[in-house]
Amino acid sequence: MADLPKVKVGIVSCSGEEIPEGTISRIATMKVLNKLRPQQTSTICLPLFLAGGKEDRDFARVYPTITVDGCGKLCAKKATEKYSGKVAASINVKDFVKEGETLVNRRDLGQKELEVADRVAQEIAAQVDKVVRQRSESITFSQEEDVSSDEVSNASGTGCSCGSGDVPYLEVNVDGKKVKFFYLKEIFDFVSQDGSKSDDIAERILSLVRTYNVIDDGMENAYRDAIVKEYHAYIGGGK
Amino acid sequence: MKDKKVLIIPCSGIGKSLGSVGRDATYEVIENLKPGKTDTVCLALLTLGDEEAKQKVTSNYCISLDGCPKKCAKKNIEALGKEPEKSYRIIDFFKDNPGKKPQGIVDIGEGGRALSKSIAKVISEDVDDLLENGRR
Repeated sequence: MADLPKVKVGIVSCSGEEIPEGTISRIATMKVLNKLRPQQTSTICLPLFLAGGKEDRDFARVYPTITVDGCGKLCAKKATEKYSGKVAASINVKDFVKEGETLVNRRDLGQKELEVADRVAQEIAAQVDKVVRQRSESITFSQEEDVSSDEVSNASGTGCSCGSGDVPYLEVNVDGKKVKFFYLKEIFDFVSQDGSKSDDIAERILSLVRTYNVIDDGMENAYRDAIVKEYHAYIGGGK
Repeated sequence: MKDKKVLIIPCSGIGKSLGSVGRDATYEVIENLKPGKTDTVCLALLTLGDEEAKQKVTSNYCISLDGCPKKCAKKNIEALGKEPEKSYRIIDFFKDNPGKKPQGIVDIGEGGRALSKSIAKVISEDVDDLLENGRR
């Protein structure tokens, strides 16, 4: 039986240099990436959306994305949506600062700032769980993976996905335009072996495609038709 | 030109320890070595094209500090039509100081802090030069 990859969630932090909350957003994000959810998360440098290439801008299309911002300007959320794609959830550090708590350290966080970072990290982790649960509803994985301490250790500091173009994809012609679909070959292999009835196949494939890709508003029917056509060509021709 | 400041703008790259070193060096300059003469600006604000941040960048001197070859800090400043007065890559400082190796992203460790101080010293000299002589 072909395996599909586990759903991973992208976390984009504002890292705002001017304020303590920017450092908090960064530290909270790293805590989730390294300690709380190392197997389920990935990140990218926010300024890379503008400075990087097309593959970097595909980040929010490859991963359902949670943004973490340090202030009400919501740069991480707005820049992600401007350059990459719609976000799955948005967190503002300011919402986790209790009344009367004053944050002053932006270089080396003090006790108060670290407490806020912990609260934010817990919220990010909860949102990651929610997104993974929603996205994975259509998949029953053949076996649960045990995460060893070695894997957690190896994940530390390696959660960056700049150049997220190493995620496999196929291009499909949709209404005359080439559209990139991540993990499409893996989805085809999975569906062709999981015993879905032929009249369920279109919905089954679309549901899995939605797990790993963003389907643009109003394009569902066109995507379904194009992908099913591609699927039949794939299983017929062994593409 | 006396009211001009020097903005130190690090990439703050979240996936690499050299990004954290650039951020730390920035704070060393603006908080300890050259307070009052220097400042920073959130790079994410520039990425988004925030008017206030753009105004700050175009009306002051800028030094970019990048943690990887993608040079996000430099490119985001250039996207505003401004060439930073100085641009540095942390890796070049590390090549000159291989013993000062950063430990990680969250905690850059003793090696990272030593590297950060070396970078901050060079930038401080640039700050004095820019404020005294302007762009050359």
